[in-house]
Amino acid sequence: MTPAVNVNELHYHYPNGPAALRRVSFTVQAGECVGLVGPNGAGKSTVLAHLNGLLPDNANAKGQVMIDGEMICKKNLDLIRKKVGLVFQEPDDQLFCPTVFEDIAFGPRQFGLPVDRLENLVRESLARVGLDGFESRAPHHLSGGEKRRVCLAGVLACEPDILLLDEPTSNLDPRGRRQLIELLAGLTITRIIASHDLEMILQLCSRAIVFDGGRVIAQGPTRDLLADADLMRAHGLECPASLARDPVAPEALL
Amino acid sequence: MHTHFLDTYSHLDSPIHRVGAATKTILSIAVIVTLVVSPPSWIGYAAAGIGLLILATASQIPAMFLLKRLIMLEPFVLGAASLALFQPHGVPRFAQIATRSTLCLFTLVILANTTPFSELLHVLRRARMPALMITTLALMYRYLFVLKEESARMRNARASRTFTTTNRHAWRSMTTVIAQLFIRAAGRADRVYAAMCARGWK
Repeated sequence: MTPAVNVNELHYHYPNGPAALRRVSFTVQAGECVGLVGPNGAGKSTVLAHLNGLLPDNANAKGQVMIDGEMICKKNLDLIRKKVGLVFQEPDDQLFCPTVFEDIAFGPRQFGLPVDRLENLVRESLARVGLDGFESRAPHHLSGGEKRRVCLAGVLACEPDILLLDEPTSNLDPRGRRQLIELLAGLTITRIIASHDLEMILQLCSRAIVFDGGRVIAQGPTRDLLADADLMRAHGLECPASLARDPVAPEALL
Repeated sequence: MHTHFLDTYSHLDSPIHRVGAATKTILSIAVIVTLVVSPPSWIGYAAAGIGLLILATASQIPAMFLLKRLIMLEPFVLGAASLALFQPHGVPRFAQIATRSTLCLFTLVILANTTPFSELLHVLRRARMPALMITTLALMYRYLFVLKEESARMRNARASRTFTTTNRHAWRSMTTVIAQLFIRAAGRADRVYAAMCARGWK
């Protein structure tokens, strides 16, 4: 079976910057939920941007990114972006329309959905994230958790096959975080989640990939990787409390 | 942090707010065109002024708020009108132009504060305004709030570490804040554009 995502020897450096990704290779099968974990600046967000075709395929990038067996290039960007939905880390960057309705309708409109079906789609998308009746609200009057769920609704409305999430639980209170985790657990499409909320990764992802310094350090079953205290500590992470067999005293981490 | 600094009262439920956005826009334009093309008449101006005051009262928006909005825009009107002072019969002409423009401005202030901005955009879209201009307006409206919050956060951050407030110091750190805002806004523009592309913008 063709993998949903196949990244092969991807190498990238930002203009005037050091290498952000070095020979990154991994595969994600359709329907899988995979966690990208690693410290700040490890290259997680850069990988997600590549999977969505956001970083131009210029001299700064080497290697291949295949979505559903199709190599990303300038010609098929529309198709790739239809297939791959990306939820950005900062909701204010993503919610750029004056109302919630306009924002959720933005993607489907770009993809040419007839106007008479937009209203239904927006209503359904809001219902999926538990925000019925929010259509006419302005983004700047929403709470952080609501903003995040509207972002998700806006991407789900495009009906992607693959959903990418960049730090979906950052800045959320426990209730907002719980709601979001349950929402993501209820999806069946392929999901790739970049985060250092390792408890969340443990709950949602069967497989994890550890990044550090733009390299893939390890990949395997989430439980095995996150329980490896030495691996976690060496790459700026901590075993989730629910997995730590030998809980380290907090002062030992300093 | 919830900011209401632009559209504080545009979501009230008054008789004026309930009138459709398209109707209100057309009526406002009609009022403005009439004021501009009709021959100068102080009785006419007084009638228009009273009519607008009645509308303003019916809208249930606090008078002070509307007045402040008007005063904020008044320098532009007075600046333009003051050119008339250099012509023959300058003073009466100046008074006329200033009154007339203030009435037009008042009409627009009432329109803008009794209609949600997204509905105004919708009206403009239906009136075939170029899509690029509407997108620009929509983005500007959306990110004014974000910028306002960002500058408030930066001001707080600065204030919490400011121990001596001399004027010179205050001005200097103000320039840093403004420069930072520009840099951050440019960075945000890149990320917003990426978010638009991610959902199929061409």
